[in-house]
Amino acid sequence: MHWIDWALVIAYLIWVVYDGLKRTKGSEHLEGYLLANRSLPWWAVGLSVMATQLSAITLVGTTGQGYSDGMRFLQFYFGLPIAMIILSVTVVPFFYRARVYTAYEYLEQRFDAKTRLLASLLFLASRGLSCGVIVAAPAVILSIVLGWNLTLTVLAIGLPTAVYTMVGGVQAVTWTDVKQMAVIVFGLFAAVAVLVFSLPPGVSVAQGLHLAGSAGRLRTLDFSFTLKDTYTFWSGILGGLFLMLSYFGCDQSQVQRYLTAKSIDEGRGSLLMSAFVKIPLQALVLITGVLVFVFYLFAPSPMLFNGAHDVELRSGPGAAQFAALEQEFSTAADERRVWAERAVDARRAGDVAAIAETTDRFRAADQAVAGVRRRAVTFVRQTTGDAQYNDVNYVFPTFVTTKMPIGLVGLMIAAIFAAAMSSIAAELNSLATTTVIDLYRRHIKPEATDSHYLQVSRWATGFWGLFACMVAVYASTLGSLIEVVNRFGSFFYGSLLGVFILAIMTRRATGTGAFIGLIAGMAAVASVAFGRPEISFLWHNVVGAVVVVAVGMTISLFGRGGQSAPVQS
Amino acid sequence: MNTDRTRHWKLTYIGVLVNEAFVILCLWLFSRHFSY
Repeated sequence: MHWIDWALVIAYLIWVVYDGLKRTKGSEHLEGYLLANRSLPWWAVGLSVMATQLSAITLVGTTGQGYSDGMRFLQFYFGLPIAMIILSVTVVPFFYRARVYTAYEYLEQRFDAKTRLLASLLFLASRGLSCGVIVAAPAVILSIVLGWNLTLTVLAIGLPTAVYTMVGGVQAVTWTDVKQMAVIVFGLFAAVAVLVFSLPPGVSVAQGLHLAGSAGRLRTLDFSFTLKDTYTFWSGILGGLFLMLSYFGCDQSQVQRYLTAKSIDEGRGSLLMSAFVKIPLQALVLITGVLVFVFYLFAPSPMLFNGAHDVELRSGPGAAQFAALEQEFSTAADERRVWAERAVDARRAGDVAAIAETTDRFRAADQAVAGVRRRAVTFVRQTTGDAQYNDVNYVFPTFVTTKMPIGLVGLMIAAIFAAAMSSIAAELNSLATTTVIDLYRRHIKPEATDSHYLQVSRWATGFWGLFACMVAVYASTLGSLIEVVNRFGSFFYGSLLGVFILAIMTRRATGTGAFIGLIAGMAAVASVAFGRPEISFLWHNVVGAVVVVAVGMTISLFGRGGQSAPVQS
Repeated sequence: MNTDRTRHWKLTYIGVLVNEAFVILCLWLFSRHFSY
């Protein structure tokens, strides 16, 4: 990496920590530190909500998906706008009027202490680990692509984030999120501009998109109904709806964002900002990946973007076979380039018959290239014993570091750092809040001063920061990173959603019913996940929520434990 | 006052749904145009 790029990355890190540290206004009291005294405007909270969701895994993994699989992934977000409307009508006013610090605190107001304790422990276990994965994901990729030391990369991402979150609290998290979101979006537009200007002379953007479209990369909608495929319209609208309801309604890392808003209406506005912007933003990320695919149609492309095992593959016992695969890939890529150029010429000439023929040949050549890449990934997994070897997440960082001009490389690395740090900061903040409010203040030391809880909150943030860094160093061998993080959550997300449905939507549900329902819901998700692994994880949330509501209501209506509570209006 | 607020939010929610339908329609047209 050029020294100018290094300077940009270091300047970004210094700027973001400095900016976070000076955002301490009002953080000398617990409510200021954890909830910014409920004073933030909707647009800042809305950007923070989006920055928290857009982790480096999403940025890097989704561009890779655009390159290899196309725009289908976008359907995953189709349930989000509907979820935001439902949450704006139900959860936002409930949490706001209950004056809670955490979503789980509300469960004790409505049910009992044991339901709150179980929910908060599940959150801490799941989010604590996933926070480590969120630190690990970009660290592993950057360490391989740029040859950096993994532990140092983990610390470069995790420690500055922990420091400004620890000192500045939620104010620092929110206002740095706003700036980090700007860096990410600017970086994406810069990448798109570079990709557009890198097309060979005579190839327009429209012609490039026609090539991507004929290779299936622009197929966005798939209306087939199958429980096995994650990226279909119905999985996105129904399964995605339940996932987004769970994530934005029951996960403290998101709930805490909109609890900092000035009022119920500002909280609603922050969620609806995502409802309007999230799908177009995700389309921008995916189209960046699609344009990387178009770029490599005309430029020399590596067979595999993840060079973690390069030395072993080129000098080990499988070296001859690997070299043969590379030769096969080179031939297939050359043929694909020839047919791509002919398809462009045919389209320019407006020759309908030639367009049809060259497009068919190009499509076949692209499938041949994809076939060699698939075999190469399988070969690497078998030869090296690295069953989790993944190539998709390395496409975009490789493009950035090898093809982008000096200066923009530093900007894009800073954008990847920004995506990681914005998510990590929100998670550390919410983990500390749940630790202090739901465990420490509730069960360990109920009577203490505000400044004592504030001090414990700062230490809890630091503890979770170190914990995340430690997990990140050991989680470095995790495979498809997007799914790993989603799977962490999906085991209890849907079940937790079921508990909140019982709490908010029903009058008759009791604490015992909710508690047993939560356990039954998680057992049902586990049995589906392990018994029917072919069913997409998106449907786990639906299963969890439905089982919790069914079991919870049955026990509440026929059991004798607990008391029913009135629904707030 | 309260009626105005309710009406404002109802219209906003309808706007979110219309926006989503419009975005999906645009994606479909975009995909269809460049896939042939």
